[in-house]
Amino acid sequence: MDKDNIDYKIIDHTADIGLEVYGKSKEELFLNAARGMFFLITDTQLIPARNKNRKYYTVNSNASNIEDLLVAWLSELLFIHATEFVIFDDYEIHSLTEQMIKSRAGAIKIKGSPYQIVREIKAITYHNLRIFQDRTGRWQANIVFDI
Amino acid sequence: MKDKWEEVLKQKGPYIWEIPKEFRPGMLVDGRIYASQSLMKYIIKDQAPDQVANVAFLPGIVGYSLAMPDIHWGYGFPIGGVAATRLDDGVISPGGVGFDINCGVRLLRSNLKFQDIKNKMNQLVELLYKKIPAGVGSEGILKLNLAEAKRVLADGAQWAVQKGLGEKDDITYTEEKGKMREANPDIISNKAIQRGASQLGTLGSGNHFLEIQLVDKIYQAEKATQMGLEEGMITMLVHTGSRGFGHQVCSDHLAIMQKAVQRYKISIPDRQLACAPLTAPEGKNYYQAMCCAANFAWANRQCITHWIREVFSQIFRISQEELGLKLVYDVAHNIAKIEDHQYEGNNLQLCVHRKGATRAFPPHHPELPPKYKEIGQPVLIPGDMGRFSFVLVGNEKAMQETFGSTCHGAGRLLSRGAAKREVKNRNIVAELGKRDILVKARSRETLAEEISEAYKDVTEVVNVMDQSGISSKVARMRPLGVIKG
Repeated sequence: MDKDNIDYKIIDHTADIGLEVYGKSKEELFLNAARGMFFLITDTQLIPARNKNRKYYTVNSNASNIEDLLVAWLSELLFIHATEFVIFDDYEIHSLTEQMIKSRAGAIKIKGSPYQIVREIKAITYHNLRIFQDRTGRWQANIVFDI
Repeated sequence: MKDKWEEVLKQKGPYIWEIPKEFRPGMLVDGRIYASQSLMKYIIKDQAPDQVANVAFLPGIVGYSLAMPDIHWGYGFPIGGVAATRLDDGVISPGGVGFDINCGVRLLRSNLKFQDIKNKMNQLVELLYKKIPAGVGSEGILKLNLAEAKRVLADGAQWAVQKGLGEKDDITYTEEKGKMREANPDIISNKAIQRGASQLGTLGSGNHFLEIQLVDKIYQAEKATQMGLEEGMITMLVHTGSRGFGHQVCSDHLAIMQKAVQRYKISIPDRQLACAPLTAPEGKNYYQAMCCAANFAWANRQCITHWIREVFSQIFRISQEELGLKLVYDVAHNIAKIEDHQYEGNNLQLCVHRKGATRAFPPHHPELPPKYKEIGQPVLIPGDMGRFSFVLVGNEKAMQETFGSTCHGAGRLLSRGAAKREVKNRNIVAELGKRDILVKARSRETLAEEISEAYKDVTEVVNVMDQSGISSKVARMRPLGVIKG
């Protein structure tokens, strides 16, 4: 995945933390949301793309609309992170509609990796959740995480 | 924003501010915030008052959408929010409990004095840090299989005590005796069990902590004595919750509630307030699942209590009897409970949501253990790591005005980002060390985000509740040693 397109910014929230995520397409928006979430969890250190220790997971989600789909997909990644003790740093979206995403995501075991965890994300909230296209056609998502 | 609130908020008493329901069409009741003039200046700076207004939309809400003086911007409910809903036509909202279900506090007293401990602080903090897993993704020593995990969810702190991780009195002095009877482990997702199975007996990260404290002020001597507290005593405060188990239960049910809102045609202004009627399957299932998470949290704090006792025994080489590390009380501050209340002269069963608020039952309430019948329920209010924590007791006025609820802590003032900007290159451990507070944290980020300046002054928060007559001060503790994730 082209790292040049990574595009998100952190939004301050009194108790929690938010992300404003951008993408030229819906696919890129979802990818950047996942990257942003793991940026909040870890430092920015990136492991070379070719790494034989990276394990790939099939991550598919369904929901009734695009916003809920983003929450469902991020929640699934967070669940795998919390139970398998891994950091996701490589994503491929195979198909994406308003209600379904099929993806494959690569993760590195935290133990023995250069990744340092700096923050625990408890969950992805629906508070002020929005996905929209601006006048230039660029996609934007606003997400608040409970930390 | 600020001007808007100055116009909307109506001051109804020295510490009471109301948001009339006419403020936003759809509000079913008025909003009511307990705060001093000076706290109000902070409160109107973020979206917390808007969230008080939003909570007033919940079907079946009774009285007011309430907020305690530690109120700050949350998601859905404000943190510091209280809402009571009727059982027959009201709703239950996972957003009114939060992701960290039964996040709460417990206080242990001891027979130790500062003299006994002052040369052993390093040892104590190091061993507590080593023995009680803390930090992000911390894994516990206990590994639960599915059958055992379900027993934890069904029996809470009582499971731990049956396993030898505690004393019988620990149950007596825990809210709900450490076990919500309505818990139904059979409806819990495999995901929640997987996420929780390795995390029992862990502190977690963020604002969760263990604190070695010194009782430095007594406000009501008789009540303090009844709780086993006196000036100069060493105490231990534990602040944690249901860890990943609770987070997953909340996430699972929030997704279900998004659909329930449409099915039952409920109109709410924030999706995080998603809810279902208490009589509907979605509402009942959430309540039973939430009770499981509450039980997980009580078991968690109970396991930690046991290890604290072991650490003290190991270092002081005296018996548990001599140490006297007895539980004063354990309170939940993120929970929804079915309780009996009087409202407008009628006896009602209500679902009381406390999102960053503490139960504060008055003397003679049937839920209190005999020792506290005459004085009221102990209320434990942790402050930030550089200032004080308080023990209060619930008063009759809490039943009349706040559905038996009071504040839960200092309440954040700065966002975590702002706190970190404030810290820059400061050495927080050294700064606190100069004030005789020994801090050990797994993460520098956590320390920066948790600096004193990030919080309101807990004394001011507690004074509002004290002077309002809702709950009154009994004792104050200051931190000597802090362990953070």
